[in-house]
Amino acid sequence: MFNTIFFFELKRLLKSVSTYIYFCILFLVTFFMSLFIGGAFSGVVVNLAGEKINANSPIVIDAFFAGISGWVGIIIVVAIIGNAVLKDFKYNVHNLIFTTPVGKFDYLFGRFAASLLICLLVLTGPAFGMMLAYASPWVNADKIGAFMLSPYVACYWQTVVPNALLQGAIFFAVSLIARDIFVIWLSLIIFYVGIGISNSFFNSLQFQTLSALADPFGAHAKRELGKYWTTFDKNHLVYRLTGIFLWNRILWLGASVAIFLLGYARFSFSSAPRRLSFGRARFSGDKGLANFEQFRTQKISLPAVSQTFSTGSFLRNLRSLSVYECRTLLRNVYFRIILLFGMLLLFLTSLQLGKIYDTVTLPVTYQVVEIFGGTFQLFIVIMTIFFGGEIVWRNRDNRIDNILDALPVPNWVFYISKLAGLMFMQAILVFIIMFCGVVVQLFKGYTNFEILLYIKYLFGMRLVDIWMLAILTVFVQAVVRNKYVGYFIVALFYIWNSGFAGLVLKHNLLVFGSDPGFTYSDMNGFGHEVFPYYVFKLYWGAFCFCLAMLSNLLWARGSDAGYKWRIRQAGKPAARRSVLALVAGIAVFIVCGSFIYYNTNVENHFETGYQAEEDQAHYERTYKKYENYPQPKITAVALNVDIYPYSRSLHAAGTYMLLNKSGRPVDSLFIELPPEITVAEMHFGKQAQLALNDTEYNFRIYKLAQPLAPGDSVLMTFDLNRINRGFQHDFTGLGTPLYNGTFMNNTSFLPHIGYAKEAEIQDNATRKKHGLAYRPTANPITDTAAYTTNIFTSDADFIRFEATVSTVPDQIAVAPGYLQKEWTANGRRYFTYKMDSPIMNFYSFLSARYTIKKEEWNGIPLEIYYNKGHEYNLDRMFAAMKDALQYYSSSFAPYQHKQVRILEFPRYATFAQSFPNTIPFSEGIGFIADVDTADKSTVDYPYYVTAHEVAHQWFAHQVVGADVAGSNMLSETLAQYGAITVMEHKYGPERLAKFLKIEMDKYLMSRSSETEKEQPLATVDAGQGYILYQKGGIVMTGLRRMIGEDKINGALRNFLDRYAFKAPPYPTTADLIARIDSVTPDSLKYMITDGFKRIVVYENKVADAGYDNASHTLSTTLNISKLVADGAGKETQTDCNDYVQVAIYKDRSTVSQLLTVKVHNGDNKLSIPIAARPYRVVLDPNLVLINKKPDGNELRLDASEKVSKK
Amino acid sequence: MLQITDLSKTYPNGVQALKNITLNIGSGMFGLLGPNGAGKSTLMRTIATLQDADSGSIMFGDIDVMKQKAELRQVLGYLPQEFGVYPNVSAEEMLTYIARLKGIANDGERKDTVKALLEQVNLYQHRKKYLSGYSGGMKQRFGIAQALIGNPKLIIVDEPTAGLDPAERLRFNNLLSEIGENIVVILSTHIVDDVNDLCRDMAIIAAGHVVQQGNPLELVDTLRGKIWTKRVNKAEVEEYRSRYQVILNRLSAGQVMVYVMSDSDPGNGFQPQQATLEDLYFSNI
Repeated sequence: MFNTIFFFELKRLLKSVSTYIYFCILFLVTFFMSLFIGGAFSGVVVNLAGEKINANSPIVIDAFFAGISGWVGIIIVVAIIGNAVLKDFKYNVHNLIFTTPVGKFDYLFGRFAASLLICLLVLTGPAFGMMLAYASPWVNADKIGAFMLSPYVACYWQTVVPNALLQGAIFFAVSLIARDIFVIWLSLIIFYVGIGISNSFFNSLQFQTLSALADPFGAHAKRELGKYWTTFDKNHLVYRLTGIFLWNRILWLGASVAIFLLGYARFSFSSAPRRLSFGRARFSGDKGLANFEQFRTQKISLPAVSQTFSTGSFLRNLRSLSVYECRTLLRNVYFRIILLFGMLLLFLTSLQLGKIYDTVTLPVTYQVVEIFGGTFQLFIVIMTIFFGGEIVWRNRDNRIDNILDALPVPNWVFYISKLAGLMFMQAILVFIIMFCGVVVQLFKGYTNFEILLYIKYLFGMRLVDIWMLAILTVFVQAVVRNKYVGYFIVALFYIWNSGFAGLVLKHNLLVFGSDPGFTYSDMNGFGHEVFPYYVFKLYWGAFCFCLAMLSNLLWARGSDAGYKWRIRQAGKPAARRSVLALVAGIAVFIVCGSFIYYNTNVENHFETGYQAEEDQAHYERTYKKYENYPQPKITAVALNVDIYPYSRSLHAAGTYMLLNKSGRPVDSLFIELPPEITVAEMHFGKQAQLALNDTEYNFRIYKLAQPLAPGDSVLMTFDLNRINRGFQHDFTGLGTPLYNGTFMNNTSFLPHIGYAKEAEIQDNATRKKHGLAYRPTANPITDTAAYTTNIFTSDADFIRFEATVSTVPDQIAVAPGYLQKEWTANGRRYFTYKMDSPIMNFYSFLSARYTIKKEEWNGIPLEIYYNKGHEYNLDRMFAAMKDALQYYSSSFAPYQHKQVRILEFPRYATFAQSFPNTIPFSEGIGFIADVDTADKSTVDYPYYVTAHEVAHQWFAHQVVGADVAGSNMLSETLAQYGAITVMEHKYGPERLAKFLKIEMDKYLMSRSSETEKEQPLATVDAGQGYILYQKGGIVMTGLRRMIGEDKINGALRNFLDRYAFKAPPYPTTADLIARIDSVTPDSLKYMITDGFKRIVVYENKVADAGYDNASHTLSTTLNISKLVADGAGKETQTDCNDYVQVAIYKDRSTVSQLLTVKVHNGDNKLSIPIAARPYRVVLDPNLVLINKKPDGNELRLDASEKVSKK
Repeated sequence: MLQITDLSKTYPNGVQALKNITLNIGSGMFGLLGPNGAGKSTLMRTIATLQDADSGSIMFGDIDVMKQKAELRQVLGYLPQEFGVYPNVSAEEMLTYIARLKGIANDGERKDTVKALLEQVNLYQHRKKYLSGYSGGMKQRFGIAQALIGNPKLIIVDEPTAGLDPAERLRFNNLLSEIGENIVVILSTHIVDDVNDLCRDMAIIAAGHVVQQGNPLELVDTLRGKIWTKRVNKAEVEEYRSRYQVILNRLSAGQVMVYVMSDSDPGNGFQPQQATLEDLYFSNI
């Protein structure tokens, strides 16, 4: 019997065209996406994992295969398995089948097995798509490694098959229990929600194991498994079914079986379905017929009514019909259930609000709106696609179209009422975001509800976007002849449009519903992006209006709604009004499009990423020949900068004093300016001829009549403008004048002297694409010629600086230096700043409506310029400034300035940056952090960031490295060292360990996606932040612990003493390392080599630990493996003769003994006499070593004893 | 009133549903009788503006149905052969909804109309209940109620009694008989008695053709004295078929009653039989 059912079903599915269509869709979607990833289209760069990761590396194959079959394939699973039994009810065959002697087991297993088998065959589509794409001649050979079958096979069996089984079991069980396709889709949405929750938790280190288990697709478990994989590993290793991944699979396989059995148990061969019934009870019987039996002679008489069929009456009807559509939707039980799940999702997400260093931010409104909006986005999209289909097909699905289509109602009334219903539903969903947002804010004790901001953000900006999706959905559903085809088209289009269209089509004019983007900032609001946003929305709105008119014209009505018939109807005179409206819509579309094009491409410069690279390449090819021409250096800068926040323009006039330090005569001056700057005037104190003026690259060459002799100087005078014209294709915030919160540094508008090497393409793969030669990322550390230049400012050493900055009267403008005077003239506010000591040629200009808070440390004024309302963490920042100034000036060198200022700038970027006595600090970090000092698991990162930036006043502004490899370490790593040390003094080693653990995780994760080559610390690249900050901080802190704080600080003092303000020549990392080496005892010299000159990681764990009560001895085994890695991430074991710390805890939190022991690779057995049974043993409690198995470094004694007795 | 001229329709799969149908239908109840698949529903749907014919025309008064669909819909009441209902919607809500769609904009009038209709079709006490819980008969009564909204001038009722039990059928026909006489009511059915009971005018349609048209009584009159019956054994049926114009075999007490049409007495033991509409029907399909 089983065989009969199984093979009948199998044959039926194999005969069905849709089975092959499903396969082809999966195949083609994957094929084309793989071509993208494989670099088949030179203008499109898609890197899923990192530049050095092959397109067909196991990790990409897995991500892709699992992703496509999980997210797209799930629809197919629903369609095939969800319908395996349901179709019997749908077509009323169940009455025939249930009355045959077929057994429940045979029937259900037969159907399930056959449909699952077909699903599994269909789901191989992506694998073949990828194989074919990567074997095709179109892909870029550099991105393709050798063919391996094992990743496909492994992914199929480990991920695709179990996932399909789980999905199949869920949807099969649901179909058995509910017998309603609606409920199946509902369960699909709940499934997505589950994954959403799992996703929202993964960002936090402490929940990683939980989320790895909770993810039904197993993706997080795999990520957990491979998160510290190096580039080499990623290109060669296939996920193995071990550890957390194995547990995840077992868990969900078990869940699949349980769910299937539940469905099996609940199913019975009766024809009455169990429905979810929340409405009024059903009834039967018709008792009111008694007086109806006899024949009545009178005729039916109805009250006279007036019927009106004017447009006006249709419009009046429309309102109530729309309300009717909405009410029908709201009354839908499933809709309510989905809403509840959505809210649950939001509340769970709120626990992870804006985490930085595992520390949440305050629930400020924009943060809540953005995070909730982001989480809810997929949810709203699914609901729109799903209910869009429902609402359009409701009449036909319920077979009531026979009646309704014959009613005297024009198509547009039906169309608009349905669209309005859908849009109303979206508005409710958006309202839910607002509602949950306020609840979460209230719950967290945050009462600054910015209801108006909620409304502006959600209803003013977001809703417009999803309304367009509604129009699109209704259009597709109105045109297609099958609802599921409609779902599929809309879903695929959405994926294409949100993920790929931008990459392929480049211009927003071609990407449905797109806009330049915007970022809300408490400082700058929606800023200057409101107007372009709405122009774009008008443009796409007109497009949607055309879709609406087409939907109306092509609306299916009557019983043979074939395309021919519909097109014929659209051509009839009755449809003329819609056709006219369509033409009007097209006109608006074209006008808006032209206006946008004029702004983005004519008034402003538009180029694709590829074109921008090509420009860089062209610049390099044309001007590289001037790189080594002798040029003078800037020694003094005097500026008048006028900031016009509301027209977003800027005027700068001033002088550079240029001194020829090159030792050779200078005959020409090369002047480089940012592209959007226009030069009103530029002249020199000596006679000079403008020999070249390349306005495209803003590159000028002035030929001096008399060469500038060595040691001679010349004054350069300039007058520049930066005029804002119209709007640009992409949102630009940082580095441009803004309504409130301008933050620009000199490189964004002032002249640069000499060929700018920074403008070259850095990345060597990109260079190759543009026909440029390989270029090392930095000059070799041995290149002594480069010691005369520092890494930050090639056209200056230390300079004298003064500036007058003007702005609008209600703003304060700030530049480095001390305020000399302030006055108002011509309706503008002027500030003159002057610096009394030499500074780097790197300075900033800020202007905003600031509130100022002032404090003092040892007579030095400390000031924070902040946006009113952002007072939350000012005290932490002041504390950090004081502690940092105290520690650095007593441990390293005196502070060179007489003031420290922190200035808030909008959150278009989230960093803080140190300029002389001036620290711009993003509102996105620190200002709204919600640090709970009592909670030991949070990191006071406002304090940490402040301490780090203050440290840069020493490391970067007093001493700066030469323009050779590794020099960034002298500023970043040393600033990090300072901040960590100050933080440890404030919060103690235990809380610091929490911070270091996060840092170690970041380092290990980031090195695994290294795009070029991992460098040792001593020769680190400028772009390798994870080495500069994370590894550097850990290494320096480790040295401090093992060698001693005084000794390390002494070495740094010595280093500063030798190089601060004394360059050129500038120091290199070798100079620093030599000083640290000189304070290091011989026994620890290996730490210098390992920390700075090699890439060393460990795989250490406490293998066992036991306590002998008789001899009072703790015996424990430390399993050590010391690995050295090459730049590509290939790790090999290396000799180990290292010291590690071992902490023995008396109880949960008290260390009773901290030992330092020498260990070698493999097992190290220790016997430690100790009076009482300890609680746990922790290897390397202070995180001196970089350990790839961070969770294995401790063992609780009672838990391990049973193991050790075996 | 309703003039159908040379109406033809061929479906994409090659089935020719209507072949040059020409009918002239006046006010009162018009019965359209025909077997399953004769093209009745195609004709009904075409009149109801739900589909177009390939050629021919339908005029209702001044309204060219296929060109002025919106105008026809304003005077149309249509009960389709098969229709569904929304789940979770009561009869009252649905009628109110349709009343609104039929252009009854005044709230009071709409309320009165719905109430009157529910009373007329005896669903008033069930007005708050979900339509999805209605029995077949109740659903058909709801169906006629919705068709009557807005005092239509043309009512199309497509096989309304199919599937109803005899008592429900009777009730439903009673209801139909109460519809006013000054409007055109087209009742399509394959049940001869429905037409017999209700219609003053009728047509028989078979395989897309109109084969008979006229007053039922007059049409039956044309068969007067031409119907003869005889009880025979099953084995003999084939023989009779070849020798006589057999219009119907009917089982009768274990044997077969053979109905034969003949202008004169065929002899051979045949008895004269009172002609009925059923005989007319069977003699024409």
